[in-house]
Amino acid sequence: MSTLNKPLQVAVVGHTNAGKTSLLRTLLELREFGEVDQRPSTTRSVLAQGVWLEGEQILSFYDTPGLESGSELYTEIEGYADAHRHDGPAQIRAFLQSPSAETIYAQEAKVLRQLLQSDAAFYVIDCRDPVLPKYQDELQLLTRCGKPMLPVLNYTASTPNREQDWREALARLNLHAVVAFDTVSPPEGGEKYLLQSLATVIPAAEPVLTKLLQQRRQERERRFIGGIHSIAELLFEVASYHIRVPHELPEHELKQAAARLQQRIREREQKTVQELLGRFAFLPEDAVTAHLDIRTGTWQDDLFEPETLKAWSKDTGFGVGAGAAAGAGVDLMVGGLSLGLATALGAAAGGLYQSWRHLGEKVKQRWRGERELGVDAATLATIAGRQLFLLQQLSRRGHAATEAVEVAVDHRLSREQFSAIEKVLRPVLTETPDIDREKVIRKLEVLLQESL
Amino acid sequence: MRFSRFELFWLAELQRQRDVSDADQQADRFRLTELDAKQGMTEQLLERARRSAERRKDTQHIGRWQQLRRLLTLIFALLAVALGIGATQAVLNQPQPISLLFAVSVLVVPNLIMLLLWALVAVRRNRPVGVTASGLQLLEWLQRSSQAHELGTAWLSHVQQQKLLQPLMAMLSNGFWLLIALSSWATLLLYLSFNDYAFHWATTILSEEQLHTFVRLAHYLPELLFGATLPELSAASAAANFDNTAGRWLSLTVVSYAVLPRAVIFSAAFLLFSLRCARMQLDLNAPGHVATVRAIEAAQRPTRNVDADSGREHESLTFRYASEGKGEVSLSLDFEADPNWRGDENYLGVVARQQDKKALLDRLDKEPAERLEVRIAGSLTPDRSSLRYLAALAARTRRLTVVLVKSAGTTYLKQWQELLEQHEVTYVDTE
Repeated sequence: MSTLNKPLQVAVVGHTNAGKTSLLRTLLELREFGEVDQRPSTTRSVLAQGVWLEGEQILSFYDTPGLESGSELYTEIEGYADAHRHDGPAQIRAFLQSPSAETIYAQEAKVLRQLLQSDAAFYVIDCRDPVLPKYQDELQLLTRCGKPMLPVLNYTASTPNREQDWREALARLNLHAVVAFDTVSPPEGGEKYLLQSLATVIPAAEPVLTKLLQQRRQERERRFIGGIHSIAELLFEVASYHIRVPHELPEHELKQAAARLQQRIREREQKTVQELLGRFAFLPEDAVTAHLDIRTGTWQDDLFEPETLKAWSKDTGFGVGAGAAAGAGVDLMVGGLSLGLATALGAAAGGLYQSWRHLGEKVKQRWRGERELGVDAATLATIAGRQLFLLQQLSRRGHAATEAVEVAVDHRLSREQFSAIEKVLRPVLTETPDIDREKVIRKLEVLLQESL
Repeated sequence: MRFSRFELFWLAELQRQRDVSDADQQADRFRLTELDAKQGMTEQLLERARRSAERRKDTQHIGRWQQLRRLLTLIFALLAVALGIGATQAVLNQPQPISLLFAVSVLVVPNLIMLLLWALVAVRRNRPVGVTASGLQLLEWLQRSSQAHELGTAWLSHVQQQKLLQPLMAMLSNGFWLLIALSSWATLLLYLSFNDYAFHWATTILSEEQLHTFVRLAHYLPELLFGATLPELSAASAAANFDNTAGRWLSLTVVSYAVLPRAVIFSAAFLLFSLRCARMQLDLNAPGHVATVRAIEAAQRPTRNVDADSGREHESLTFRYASEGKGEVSLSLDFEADPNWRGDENYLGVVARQQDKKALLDRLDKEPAERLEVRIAGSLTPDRSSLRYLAALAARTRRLTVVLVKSAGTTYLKQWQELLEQHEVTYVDTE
């Protein structure tokens, strides 16, 4: 499959706190990769994580400790320049043999050792920082390892943004291929540009990286479609929630019953939130949903609700037909001895059966003096809007982001946006029997996608 | 217990539903490292489902489910056979000569009506109807346990997802009617072969023309498929071999309109079912599977520590101050965050380059300062190099003060403060 004999090894290097681990979290879509903290020297070891394509490992990313003593180390390595004139890697190797590589510069030694073993490197830059001499020293040092280096400008969405200064400084070091990639909110197509740029510095990796990009695109599409499906299932299930209570129920008990329904709805919504987070490989704490305010419900006590009657008349027609046909079969099989009685009985039984299925429960309810509380359209519109908002946020969000997505109550769908969805959910809300769940969910998926 | 591929996918769906309802408990029950990483993800999920089912004793329930399914199939089959025999018996027990029109109506018409109804109602339904629905309800009722209910729900979901329900329902419905047709045809053949029956064309309400049209229509397929001879409508009793021809024609009509259509549909449904069974795939994107796939990948493709922190390299900085000093010096380390900052006559400017830093240390070596003020941009991350330099400066002054210059956006003020406090260095924040 690949033109490479072994996985492509890419080291991620840079000054401390530049966002190396964050870049890898986003690229690997692993929210729990490494440790991210604003304190310096958070990453002290070299961590390796593979990337697989069709069961074969194609890439190894190496997260390295941050460089913190670039200028001093630059001076130190200059000491080896005479012995290894015009041979950067030899100068670095000589340094790595020295005692200081085990002590004062141990952290930097890890970076350089890994870079020497890698095929290429991403040099991560916090482009909010000015171009300081110590950073330039670091870069000079890293280029001596003789490996293709791709500068990645991180935090481009933040202020101050010194992207231009950095591009000019990098150009002076002959590093012209620079990628702007905000790890918290990756730009549209950012990953593609990053991996394509990597392919330009390592042409042999181009086929596998192209395949990887395709796979990632398909995965993103699948995740999004899966998310839409989960929201459609949520709406279907919440719409089917009903609580039956006696007509003459004291006020406080009525409130308790409504509270039970509301709690059930909230729990179901939360389940979808967690499912969406999991689908996008985020952690449970990565989304905070505002308390769903369910003020009202809908009483489903109209025996002759138009939707119910419509479905009843359709199904009863079928029931009468099917019953009559089955009865006719019996009449014929007994040689007409039954005088068409089976046909008549079959038709009656079919019609009664269908009527009972549609109206039986409601008639029973009336008989017992009960009524049913179901979810109202406004709540469903809020749930749909909130979940779609979360889905959109998660599909854009980088795995380096540490602040939770806040899903507010006002992320609801408008009446116009929700009217078509409500129409599809109507049979579920009115408890029409024999609803084709899959069909309703498919319709909901289409409408949800349209409302985005 | 050895499972068929169909059963394995069924178990995988059961496991998926359990993962959706209680992921934590499922994760505790099965260690993902038990799986063989060399296998594909689908195979691993199937293996996990199989082993989990064995541990939860689901295998017993599946065995019972399958036993009952076979029993119900047998009962339905016997019922179909009985109905088929009964229908033929009803026809042949009529007073002779038997009306051919009546025989065709009894042996063929109900089958065709039900075929039409099936085509109208059930063919595209993605939920159980008819015999399938009754069979499933009966299966659940016979078992009446929560695990059996779980299995039933998973079975339905599995066949719906794999698009197996329609061919399965087609097989059951058409199989049922095929058995009725076959048994009635076999009974007809048996009785006609060894008994002497008299037939005639008889009707009371149809005109001769209408009868003629109906018979011609009915004769179309038997003639086309088997080259059957139509018992003459006129002078029926005059023909010597009329009963013989009528018997043959009746049996071929049953084959053409009852047996063959059902057999063709049954075979097509069986083929489709087998084809779809062979192409079954797990939707790794489905709720439940997504999290499991991620967990398996995390377990089998862990992050490796390839160059561990030995702990030896953590340098311990000590801030020692000069015993004497003269004058005041101030500088900005690496960068001045305040563009309007001009400083006083003691301000040395920004000290960023390594040689400038060294030059300052050399100068202070010769003449330590009484007070040294270092301005540090709070937007720059602290690093070992900066702290080391601050320690070197401290050794060359009697009093070191760090001014943390605030700026807009993300800052590392808190981190600087913590580090400076740790080394007992005096600091102030700019407002």
